Amino acid sequence: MIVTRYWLQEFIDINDINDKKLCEGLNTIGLEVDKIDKITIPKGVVVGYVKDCKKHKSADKLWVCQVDIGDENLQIVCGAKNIAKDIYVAVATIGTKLSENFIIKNTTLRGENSSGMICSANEINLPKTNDGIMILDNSIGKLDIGAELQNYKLLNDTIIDIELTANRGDCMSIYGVARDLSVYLDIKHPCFDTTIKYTNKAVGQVLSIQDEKDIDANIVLSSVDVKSFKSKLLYDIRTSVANCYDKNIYKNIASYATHSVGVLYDMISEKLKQNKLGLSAIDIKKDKDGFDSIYSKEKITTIGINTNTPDISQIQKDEINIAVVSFYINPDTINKLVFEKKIKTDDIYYKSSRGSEPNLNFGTKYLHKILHTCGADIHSGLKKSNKNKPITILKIDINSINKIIGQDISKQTIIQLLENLQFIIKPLSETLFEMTVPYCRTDIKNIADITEEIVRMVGIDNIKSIPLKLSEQNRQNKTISKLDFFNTIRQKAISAGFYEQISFLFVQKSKALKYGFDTIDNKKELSNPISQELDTTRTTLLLNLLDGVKLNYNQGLNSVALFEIGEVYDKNRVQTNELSFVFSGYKDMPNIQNKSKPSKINISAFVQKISNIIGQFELIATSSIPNNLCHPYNCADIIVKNQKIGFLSELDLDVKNEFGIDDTYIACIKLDKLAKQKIVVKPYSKFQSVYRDLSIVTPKSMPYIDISNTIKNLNIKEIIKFNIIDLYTDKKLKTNESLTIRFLLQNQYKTMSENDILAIMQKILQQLEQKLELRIR
Amino acid sequence: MVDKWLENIKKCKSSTNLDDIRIKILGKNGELTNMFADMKNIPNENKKEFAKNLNEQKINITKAIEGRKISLIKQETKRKLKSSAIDVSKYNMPPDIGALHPITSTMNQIINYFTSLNYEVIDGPLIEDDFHNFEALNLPTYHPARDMQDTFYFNDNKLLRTHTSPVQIRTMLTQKPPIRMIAPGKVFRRDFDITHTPMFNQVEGLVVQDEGHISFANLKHTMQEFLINMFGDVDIRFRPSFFPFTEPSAEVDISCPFCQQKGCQICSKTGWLEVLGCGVVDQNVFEKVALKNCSGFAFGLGVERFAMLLHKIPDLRTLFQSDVRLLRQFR
Repeated sequence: MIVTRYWLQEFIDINDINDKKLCEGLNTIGLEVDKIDKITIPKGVVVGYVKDCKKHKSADKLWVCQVDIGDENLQIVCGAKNIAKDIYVAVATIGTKLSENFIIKNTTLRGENSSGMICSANEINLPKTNDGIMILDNSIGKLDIGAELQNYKLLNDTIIDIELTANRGDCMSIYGVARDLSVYLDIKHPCFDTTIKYTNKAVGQVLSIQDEKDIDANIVLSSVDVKSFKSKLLYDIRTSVANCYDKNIYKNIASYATHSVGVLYDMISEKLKQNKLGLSAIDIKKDKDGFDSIYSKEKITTIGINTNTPDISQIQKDEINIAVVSFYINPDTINKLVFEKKIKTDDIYYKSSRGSEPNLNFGTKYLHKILHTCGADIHSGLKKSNKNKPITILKIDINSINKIIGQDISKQTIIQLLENLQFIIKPLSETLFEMTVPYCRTDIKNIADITEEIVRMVGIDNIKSIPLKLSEQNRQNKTISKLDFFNTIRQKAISAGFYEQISFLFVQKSKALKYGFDTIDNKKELSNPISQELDTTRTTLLLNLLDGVKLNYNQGLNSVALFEIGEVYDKNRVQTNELSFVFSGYKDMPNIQNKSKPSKINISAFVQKISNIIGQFELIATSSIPNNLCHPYNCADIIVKNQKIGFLSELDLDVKNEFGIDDTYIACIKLDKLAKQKIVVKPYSKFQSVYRDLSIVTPKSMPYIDISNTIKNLNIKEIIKFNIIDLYTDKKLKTNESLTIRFLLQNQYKTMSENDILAIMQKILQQLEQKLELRIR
Repeated sequence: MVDKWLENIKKCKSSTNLDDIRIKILGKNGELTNMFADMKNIPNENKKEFAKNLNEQKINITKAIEGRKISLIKQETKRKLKSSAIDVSKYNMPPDIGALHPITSTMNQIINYFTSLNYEVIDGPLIEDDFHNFEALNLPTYHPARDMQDTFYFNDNKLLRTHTSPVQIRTMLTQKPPIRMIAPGKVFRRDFDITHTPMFNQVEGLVVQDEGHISFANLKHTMQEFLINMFGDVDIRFRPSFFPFTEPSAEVDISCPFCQQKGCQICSKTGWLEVLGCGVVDQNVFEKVALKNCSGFAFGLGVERFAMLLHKIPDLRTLFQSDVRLLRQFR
């Protein structure tokens, strides 16, 4: 909502209030100032009078003008379509600096001298209005030839952009903002002199109005003769500043009046049907959808939904009376109906849905004054629809208001503030009051709304802050435990070298399908995605992680490790939490230690990192590859306590090429299956432990899990743990390979002798020979 | 003779040589040992004196040998240390760990503040229905305030929540006051430009107690304490505002810490930065969840906004791009 200082000044006296105080006041009462700008017309631009204007001899589109600027006459060449004789214009004289790179100089255009420039509005820091030069008139003040335009304060205004909240329909006009501001500044309520001279005709001699009993809108009808109507510069500049300028001069003037006082208008100029008495007849009745509408020969407008735009060409031909319909409709009524019927609405609905100004008498007279200033003739009298506007009366206890605020505001202050806001207050008891809400405040419905008015006018800064007394209670719950658990995992992932990623919940459906992931069932799919790339909710984090890797490769990195904890969905759109990792490229930087030959990430290093983060697990080759990102062979299920909690895989070759990335490993874990381990200490021996290695020859096709299970089945208590420490192949071994397994042996009750140890190793070897036919190397 | 031995010991350069010298002097056939054997040639009255003298020498020489041994070991250690010396300035190793995402760390900071004030943390589903996301929050279907939020809908009329307020509604439907909670989490709005992303993070809070116990003054206090904790010694400004679920409502600004309120690009030259919204809970909301005789306040903030202000991150969209050049700065 744009307001300007001198426009506000037409309604309230803010001469003594500087810009800083004005902005502070607006912010304090809840009208947030977004921007403030001062228009300054450059020095050297003066009022000129075009004494003569002839077509240029050698240029079709140029005119040679003789312009009087007071102390001299200038010849100026001008190419505007609307240049004419006997008009006042804005002349930029020689030496005027219009912008950083534009200083007016003496020039010659097609052989004719030009000693200055006749300006359009936007060439001199004003907003653009028409498509030609700016024509001055007395709306900006008395036109003194040669006077600096910089001194015309109505043009050099301060513009304030206010961000209104959706409930303040009453402030969608200069008058509305002035009204609110006047209460805060404790100055006279805004007023405007709407006195004009009327014609001898009365509206009743021109128009007749018939309104059905069941219509909701309030209507005021009047009649205007626009034969001599000509728009004025100030109104064009102001509608432009307020972003509601319209080329159609009738629409523009209605726009101006609406922005000024908040009342909505329809201007009807079409040939209307004549009734028996020879009057133009207008009917107000509900259309087939139940919307109040204006009819004559046929339907003209739906009130509050669209507006009628008078046809300029038609009006200029005949002497036609325009019927001016000022209307107001309760916002709740119109909102409910629009939602129900789902009809399309025009720009005017933005205002009618939030509640326009209900004072139609004032609004109509204001528009009359403006039209009259522009040369129109107004017929006397107003025709009104007899509609009682719904009143809101509240019974409020002052003490209850203060309880909500938390501070005792005096009864006098509260009543005075409300009366200044146009409430009617009637005491019912010492503290109970009957409060009648002003019509323009359709947003005030209960005690909370009244309290808000008091709070903002007193000023929130003037309300003390008081600590709350609370009841102590155990507020630890599963959610906070879960969040703590996630944070522990995050810290471990960070220590292992992964960066945390947070990505959108959306992926591209076609991409998810391409890489073999489930997608959401169509019945439960997103109906209004924001783009093609983000057209479904994700069923995995891995695609976003790979995108993250790709982005970093594009920046020139050759080592990227990312992880994410986030929500994913299955095809029935059930939500679960997933923890996923991706490690791509080199696993460390070149440095002195590795002699500038860092190694790429490999399965060993990747698994080590994952196990450092989520704890001990086992890997079993997957029986069915989970998706197309996975290497067809080097893909494993992650098993914890005999349950599959996720998978780990080398990235498939084709995928690597498609993403343009190097050796990459991925892991995906269902977080809901990963439990926080409660640590229970197991007894451990105080006696010495010893390592023993066993090298065996095994067929390459034998999965290690068979060997480890065979050893585990021996249930030898002294085997604390065992793991592969070397893997050896050569041509002599052919289809076999040599595995070296290191055993950590320890006895709970004594230091083992060499014989004890040998016996154990023998047992192991025997078992392997018997069950799996393996031999020592 | 003794002096010559002592001198040899002193000059000895290796422990093996030292051992040789020890054997030569004190060994089975050592020179000093042999001198003991000479005792039979010494007259009886001088024997005591002679033995005493020899023993003294033996002790001196043993001491000298041990001393020299220690000295040699020390020298050897010194030599070893010197030969393994490196230019430490060549070994700058920047950390190779990863980093927590700034949204996560900011979220944690906010959650920790409120849990330390005995607030409960509650979460809820990202996919919601119209009642919990709009209607229960005093936003009837035809209300123009719905314009404020562009919503993602699913084909079965469910929607992605546009704020974490539904969690507060769900809590009020199942918990009796006193309620003291925050609801952090992802929210979604159908908007994607320089200052908006289709997904972002919020933390909303709700405190409900018996009627008359909670006032706007209490809310003011809670917000002020929280913001000073997050941003340090800043000025705080409240502006009346409008939210469908609270009345009176306010938006809260902090004085711009980047330009000390002189006006800069970050604060659009106003000297103030809007950081959160809050208000006294509207009675209509209590009615929708069938809570009687209650009073409460609620507040909400955008986590990305806080993260960007705390760390001076210039572009919102970069928070969702996983660019390591940004993420590594949070190590």
